[in-house]
Amino acid sequence: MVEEYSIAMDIGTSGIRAQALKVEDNSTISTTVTLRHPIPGANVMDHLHFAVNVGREPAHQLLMEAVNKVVDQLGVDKSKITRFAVCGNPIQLSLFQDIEIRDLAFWGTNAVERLNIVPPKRNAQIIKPGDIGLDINPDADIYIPPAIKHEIGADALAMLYKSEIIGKEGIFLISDFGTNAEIALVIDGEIFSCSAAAGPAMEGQAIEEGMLASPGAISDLNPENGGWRNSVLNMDLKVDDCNIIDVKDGSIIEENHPETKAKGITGTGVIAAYSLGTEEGIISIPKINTPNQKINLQDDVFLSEHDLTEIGKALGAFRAAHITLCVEAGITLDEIDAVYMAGASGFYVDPYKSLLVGQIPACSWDIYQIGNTSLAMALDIIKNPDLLQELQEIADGMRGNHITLATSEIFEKIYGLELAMCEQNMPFWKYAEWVESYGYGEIPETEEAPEIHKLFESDIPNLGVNGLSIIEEVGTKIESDIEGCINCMTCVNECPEGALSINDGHATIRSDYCNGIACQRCQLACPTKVYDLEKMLYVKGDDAVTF
Amino acid sequence: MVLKSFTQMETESFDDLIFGHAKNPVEVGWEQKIGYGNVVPNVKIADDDDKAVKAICSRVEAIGLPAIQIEIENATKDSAALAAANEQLEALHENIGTKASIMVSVADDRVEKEGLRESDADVAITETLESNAQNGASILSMETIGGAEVCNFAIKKADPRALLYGVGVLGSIDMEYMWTKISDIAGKNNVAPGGDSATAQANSVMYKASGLTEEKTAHTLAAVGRAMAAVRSLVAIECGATGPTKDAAYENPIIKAITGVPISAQPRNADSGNSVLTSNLSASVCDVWTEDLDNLGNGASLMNAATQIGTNKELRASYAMADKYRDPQGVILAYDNAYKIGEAIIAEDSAYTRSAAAASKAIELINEAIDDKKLYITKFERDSLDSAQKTIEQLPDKEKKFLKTCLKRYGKKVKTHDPAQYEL
Amino acid sequence: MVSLDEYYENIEDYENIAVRYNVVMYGPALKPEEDPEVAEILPEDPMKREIALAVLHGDMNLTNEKTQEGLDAGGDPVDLINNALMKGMDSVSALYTKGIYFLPDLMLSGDAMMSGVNLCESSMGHKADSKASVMSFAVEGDPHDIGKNLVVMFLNANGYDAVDLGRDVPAADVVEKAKEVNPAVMTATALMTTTMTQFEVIVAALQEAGLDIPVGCGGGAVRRDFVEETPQTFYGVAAYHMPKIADAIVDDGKTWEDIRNEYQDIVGEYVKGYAE
Repeated sequence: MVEEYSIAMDIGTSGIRAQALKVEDNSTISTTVTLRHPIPGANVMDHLHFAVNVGREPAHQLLMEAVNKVVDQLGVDKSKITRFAVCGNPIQLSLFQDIEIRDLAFWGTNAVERLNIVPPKRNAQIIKPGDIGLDINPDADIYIPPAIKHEIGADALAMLYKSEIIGKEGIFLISDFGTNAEIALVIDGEIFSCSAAAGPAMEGQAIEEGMLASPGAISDLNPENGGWRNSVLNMDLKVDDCNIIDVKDGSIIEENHPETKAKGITGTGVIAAYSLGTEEGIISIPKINTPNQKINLQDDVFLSEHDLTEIGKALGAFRAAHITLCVEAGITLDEIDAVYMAGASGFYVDPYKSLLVGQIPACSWDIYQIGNTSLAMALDIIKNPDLLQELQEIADGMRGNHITLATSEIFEKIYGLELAMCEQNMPFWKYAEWVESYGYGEIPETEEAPEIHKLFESDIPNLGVNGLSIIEEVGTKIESDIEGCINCMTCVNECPEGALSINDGHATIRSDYCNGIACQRCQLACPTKVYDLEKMLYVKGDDAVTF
Repeated sequence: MVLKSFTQMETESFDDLIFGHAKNPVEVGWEQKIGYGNVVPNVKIADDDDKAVKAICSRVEAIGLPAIQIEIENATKDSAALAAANEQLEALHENIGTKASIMVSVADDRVEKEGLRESDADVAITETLESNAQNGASILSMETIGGAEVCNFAIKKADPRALLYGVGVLGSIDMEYMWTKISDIAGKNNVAPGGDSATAQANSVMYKASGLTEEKTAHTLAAVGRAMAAVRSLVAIECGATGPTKDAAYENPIIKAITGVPISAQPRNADSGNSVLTSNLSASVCDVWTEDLDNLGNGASLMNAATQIGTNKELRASYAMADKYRDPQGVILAYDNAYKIGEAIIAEDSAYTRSAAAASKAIELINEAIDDKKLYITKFERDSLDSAQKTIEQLPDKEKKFLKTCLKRYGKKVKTHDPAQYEL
Repeated sequence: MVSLDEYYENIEDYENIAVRYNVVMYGPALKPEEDPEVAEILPEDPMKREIALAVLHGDMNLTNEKTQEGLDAGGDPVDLINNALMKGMDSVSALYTKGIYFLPDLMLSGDAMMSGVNLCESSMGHKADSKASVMSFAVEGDPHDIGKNLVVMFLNANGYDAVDLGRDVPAADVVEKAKEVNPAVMTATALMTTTMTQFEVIVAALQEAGLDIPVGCGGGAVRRDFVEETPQTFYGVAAYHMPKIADAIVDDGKTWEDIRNEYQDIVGEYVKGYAE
């Protein structure tokens, strides 16, 4: 019998993860992940913006170049790949399939009508590699899992399917959160879902000393010895347990790893500071109770009261979303039997900190971290392709209620309260009083000792006989001739990621480094106003660089 | 065991609440009459400072004090100070006729998690009380710690419900246990069971609230906690205590209004650096007045002179008015309002409902003072008061339901709290 | 029996006995109507005062009831709008600015006031005079309108006729409506990165129609440098800034360029996005 291989892939906002298996016995051969997404941007809305404004074609080309590099890296004979399953949110899957995506970019009917957008069905499908430029055995089947409804994608289906709460009696809240949160409340099989945009503060943007995860970034903080232990990313992007700092004045209580200097703080660091500060009473939003009204961290990195307001607004969207879902579903927060955390939040995040800052409801008492369910569901499909049809049936059978928070009056009222708290110092009990006066029920107490179940010891449980390889640089590129460019290099110097080069009026951007619309500093800095990000075209990139 | 549950006010009206006079006075020690008309000066000494007794006796003689009480703080089983005081006060009484008494305050060093009842620390307290009673103490007093762990949590979280549970309910349960025992020991040894102060609870809140401008714990919340503390301190009297009560119990005016027992008061607690904003007000209705050696007898003489001249009511008003609108706690402890809180308490029969009623009345009185534009509070204090009011208004009618919620919530949240120690 | 507080009557100044320095430092907690600034604003006439207080307390039913009573008693609707309902709202704004009232209070009072204004207008049979018209909308493809709703409320509360076009508003509709309403200024809001490109589209459409109305642009992910790429626009930071900006345009003839340059002066406070 000829050896056959199957590939399971999860296309996420921050990168691609894939595994190669033997079809014969479903044993895992190898695992490959990328550390970046090939399309410019910091989050999925940025990717969408790129696809809508620069073009769906370059977006698809960039993505497929990365997908092909991942498949190469998995190291199996590509001509013998017969099954390929992929999972991700509707935006990523649509870019992968190269189908209409603009329906996801605009709300309401006006843009859809004006642009003649026909929203695709996004049902379960089997397509061929030739359809999408996937460089494997042309006869292989590519399995695309279904979306539940227009707004509830295959990634959400994966959360529900893998958490096994479909068909279970009870009230469950499932959330996959990062910059945005995909939240589903499932009551005896009926889904109430929403998508909450927390905004840029969660990524360290809009924070004075904020930065993305890179050397010098404070990525976590933990109480120790009367101060806070600063975890800082070193030059190899590994976490060093650095100094213990007295946050009241920034003085060093204990020094460690003096060679690793802190330069800024990441989203996770911000959450840690917010959670610790709140717990220790140093933060009573929007005030910081230290002599200089700052949380003083290592090497003069700090968080200001203005930062807190930004973080508070971001986290407030989550809390308001939870309450809105409950009100829509006719339950109260404290009736939730269990909370499931999926995706990156399903493994890397400390659930108790999430609870304290409001990424999951503060009253959550039974919490399951179920890891990356998208990859897990893709694996299930390649092991049993019949599952695809079953998933479609599950999706069809689900009573889905998607709540658009932006148009929800309930959300508007509650978010107004969030704003009043973090911008105006409205006390929390007053918040609770307003919520009650709106008829939305009582705000339950914060759970101090929740039961936490971590279902996996590592992010990807079985890496395979050949183990894990990491693609550090995807190497994808976009380029454009810039008419009228004077080669002044202002844009090149302005780029915070070193992604841009100009050669005699010709711009080349390493798209995997570029933050896209979220940054746009190159374009805004151009003194002659000739530089235009939207005119960029795909060009074959550099070789991938692995660790 | 509760011997007498108060359902009526022993003091007939707020106007009968006045320094020196108590409805149910006591005679202790060496012809020491407390609450019969004269205020008795009290001076505190440390348990190991037996030498201080001599200085006090000399001072009494030198400045001509008709009466003196020595209070031995944190008295131990074989107290050197108690032995010295017993011997020298007796001599003073015999030689120059000074009326005298000794109050012992026994430290409550029980730790909730290690056991409030029959633990080693509890047994040691019993032994100390018995020994002190046999060795010359005239009055036994304590500062029991029941409910203090939950109270600390309540302060930290500014949680009025936890305050009610800790101070009002748990405090009362532990008080009944402790004061049944103390009254029994006192009865067997023919000494007076004095009273108790919520030092570890209501005073902690007050100290945490500290000076006016710090805004850590709201003074309004401290005042509400004080009203609740009266419920637990009352339990001592209901279990047989006769007064004079402990001077650190700032809730004493309420106790005196309800029970008519003589009470003690202290002008300040400057040693500990804490801000007490009701120093003068405390004097207005006291029967024992604590002073340090340098000022010993000054305050008591002034009050006793006023009583004889007939200006005592004016002096009482002066004392009270000096502090009434300094702070919300002044408002609720001023004798007119203290009387009203007493009435609210005796209208109820359980520690839970009494605490809620006391808190509710205190909030009402503070709000009245604000409406009358006599007391001004900050937004922080206002928010805290409104929040407490809302919590109190929403309490369940049934104690059982309240306890169930509290056991679930604080049993888990307060790591140092063990409901079993209260037989809950 | 002399009550204790009878003695209080003799006290001339309690502050010679004790001063609550916390109240001196942080200010007293007052009932909304006791705030000195509010006391200045509230009308003295008992009928108007009751209406203003109903608005101040965010009580829509009472506002309607009192306004109707005022109209039934022969009150001039314009007078009731300007000297009762608006005074109530002015008081609310004063407390909001001071951080005593919060957003939810504001929304509640805003609704109460508008409800009263509607009663007066239906009694008059036409709309009341306003300082000027302002148009507000969330751009095409964008449903997020919390910020826009606040802008509308603040403008109404400050005597502007805020015309609310709603959400998901195409550029063509903006142009058409602008011709009809002739606003002094308009606000466009977008929260999504995919929709904020509409600002440029709207301005192009306005310019094509020969309309030079300034467009205030704002929303969650919107940045000043992004907005200022497009002419005829300015970056709006907070909803409550809008009435002052409208005043600057209507009363002082400020242009969109002036607003870009003088934003902090116009709104009268430090604004982070404009400080650097």
